[in-house]
Amino acid sequence: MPLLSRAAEHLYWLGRHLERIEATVRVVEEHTNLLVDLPIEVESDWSSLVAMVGGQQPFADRGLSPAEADVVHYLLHDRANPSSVASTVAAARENLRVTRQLVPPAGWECLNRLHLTLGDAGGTYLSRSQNLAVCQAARVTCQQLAGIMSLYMGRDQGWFFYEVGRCLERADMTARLLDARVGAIMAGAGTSGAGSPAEPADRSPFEDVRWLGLLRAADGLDLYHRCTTTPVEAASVVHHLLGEGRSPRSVLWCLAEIDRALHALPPRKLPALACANALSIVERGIPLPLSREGFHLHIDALQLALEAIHEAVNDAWFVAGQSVWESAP
Amino acid sequence: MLADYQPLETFDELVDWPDASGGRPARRAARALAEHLSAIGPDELALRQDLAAHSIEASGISFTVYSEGVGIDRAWPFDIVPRVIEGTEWDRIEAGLIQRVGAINRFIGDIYGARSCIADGVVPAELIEGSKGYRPECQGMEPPAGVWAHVCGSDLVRGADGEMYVLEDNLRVPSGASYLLTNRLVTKRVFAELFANQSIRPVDAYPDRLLRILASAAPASTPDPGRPNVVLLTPGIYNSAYFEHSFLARQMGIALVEGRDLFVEDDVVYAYTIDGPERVDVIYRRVDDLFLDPSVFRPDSVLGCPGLMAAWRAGNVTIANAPGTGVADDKAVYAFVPDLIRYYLGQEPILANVPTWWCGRADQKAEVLARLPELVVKPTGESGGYGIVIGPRATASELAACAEAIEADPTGWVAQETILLSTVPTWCDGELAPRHVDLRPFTLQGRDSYVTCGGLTRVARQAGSLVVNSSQGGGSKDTWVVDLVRPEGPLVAGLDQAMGEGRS
Repeated sequence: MPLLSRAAEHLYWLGRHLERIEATVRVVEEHTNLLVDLPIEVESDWSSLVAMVGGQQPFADRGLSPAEADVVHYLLHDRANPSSVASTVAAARENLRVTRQLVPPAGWECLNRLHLTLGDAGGTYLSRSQNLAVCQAARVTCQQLAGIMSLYMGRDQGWFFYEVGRCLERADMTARLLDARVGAIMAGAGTSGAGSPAEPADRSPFEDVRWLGLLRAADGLDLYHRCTTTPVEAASVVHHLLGEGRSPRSVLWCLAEIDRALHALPPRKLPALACANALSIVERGIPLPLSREGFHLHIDALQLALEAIHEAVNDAWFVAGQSVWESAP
Repeated sequence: MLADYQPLETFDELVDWPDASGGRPARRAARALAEHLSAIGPDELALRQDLAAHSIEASGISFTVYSEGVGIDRAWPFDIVPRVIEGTEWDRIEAGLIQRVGAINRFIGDIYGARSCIADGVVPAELIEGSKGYRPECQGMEPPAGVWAHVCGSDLVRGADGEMYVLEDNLRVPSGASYLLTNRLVTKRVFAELFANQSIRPVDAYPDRLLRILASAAPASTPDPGRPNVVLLTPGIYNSAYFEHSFLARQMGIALVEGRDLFVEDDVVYAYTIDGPERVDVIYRRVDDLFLDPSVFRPDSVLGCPGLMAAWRAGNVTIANAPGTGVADDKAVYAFVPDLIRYYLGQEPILANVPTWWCGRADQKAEVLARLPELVVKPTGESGGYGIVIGPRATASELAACAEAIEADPTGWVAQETILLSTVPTWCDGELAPRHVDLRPFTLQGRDSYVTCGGLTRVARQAGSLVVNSSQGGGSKDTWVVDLVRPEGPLVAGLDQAMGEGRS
């Protein structure tokens, strides 16, 4: 019997949630590490993390301060924040609970353990090193789960929905990261374009550190060194994260993987078209020389294209299918 | 460790009655277990119990309880000391259960068919009409192979006389089979050495046998009779037994569906899949009758699927257990099961009923009211231990209220002889203490029959308590059916020493 639509949807969201946990944790870890490298008088911009993960409005509404303690708590532990790591773990656990019979048992045990750990932690504000330990636990769990899934899950329809969810979320988080960081770094380095945001507090001497940090936040630093012979500079960093086909962290790789997965599923026209469209944007590349304006437009188009893939997948297999059948005579 | 065990003056499943010297030696099937328990100290036992609890929590073996409208996921309560049943005794129980479920299936078919049991005066007609589980919508139905109850979870209790009695036949949506399987997994994981040197029957065939029985019950109209589409219908993650539904679906490799995943067109049931509508042939439903089909039963139910009953009546889908099966789950019908075995099968019942009086008969009601403080009184249509009054433990005002309720609705009540349940040593606050247990084996019937090896042993965790239901704080134990390879003496003399295990 083919996969239930509802189960497919949960597996897709399982993939998205797991990838989101990992991405959020990495950004927090990287930002904390970056602080250590910057001189004390450089004010660190924690609010950009909230902007990146989403949820600025609820953050502001609750009167939280854009400083480390509030931001990190909000991103890691806050149950009232639906994108926090704790909330996302709980959501992933629900996805897994509903599809438990389809996923290797060790996967459930692994995520359940993290859920229990997070339930114990995070009632009050934790110290920086305690939070880093939570990040590490979450990251290791995500890596274990990825390994368990890839080694033990059958390559059936359920797997491909999970894979589409994972890759789409990874591409989306990378795009968000680039959107939040590239403009700011370029502005700081004096490569200013039109519509520059508030003047960042740091100065060009730290530009290198910031590009390295961006690569680290996308978990792409090691591969960057291996794939790229040029030193760390704007155009090649951006190219690496968007268009480096050899790196499974790049948007190009994610889209190619989504394309492969879609081919393994019952054929539907719109998801395939949406994926091809996103791929064409990435393959077109960024207009050079790199400008803040040009980059922003490019990333905007990419993000819309990624959103379109989600809509198409959702309509093709999760929702629209049902309403079509229900209206059938 | 076991030397300090203080059994009660009742049947204990692990130790025998006092011998000539006043000691209570281990029963022969439990001898190897008793030796292990004697050899290890309380610290070691406490450690294993903690390991088991940790393993259960980590694996997410849970059940859901409702308190003030909120569902809470609780770790499955498990006691590390197994309950042992000797193989030869089990063989008899197994035969008794198959006999019983066979008669029950004949009875249900008769009730919804010719009703010869009423015409022949075996059961009174008012027993049926007054039953909460009777569904007039099922009249005239003939499910494949005449099977209505594919799965029966029986509650067995052992009295002080050593006899194993059937206390209840749970036929609606009995649960617990998954815990029977996971209890064994946990014991193997944390207490593996217990399995050495003895012959314990494995339990893990159950899901496979269940799937075979379900597939064999597919309707004649199934498009691909070799591979019918079997699904498990769950009320969803808020149901107390959701863990079990998910566990069994995985073990059988079938889809776990909710009502909203199904629809009916032209009396055929389909599931929404990513490939489009897929025909469903057999539904192993874990949803109560009244929630199955809002167009026939409760119109507010969102757990079922409109049109399901029509599809079933048209013979296009098998529902297991069949709608209306609950008519035999009634505690008043229970009282008649021994007669039904004689009537349909022409055999004497292998397993005894607990002596039961149905208040729907005037003479029996009078006897019940006279002996109320000695008896256990139960509402006929309830399950899960709800509404039970235990005479010897009830206050005078509780007994008066109970008598009033019986007078108001005599057909709705039965009373049973109080059985002092047998005990098993159970790990309680740092020592082994006797706790009362029952046993829930599962019997499957399709074109052939199967009984789980042993069953789910449920244990009352409070000293003296007889309430074993997990919804009311009961715990559980692994259950071993042990075959005596060599009935007398140790299996291999001196083997324990040879393996370096010191004996104290």
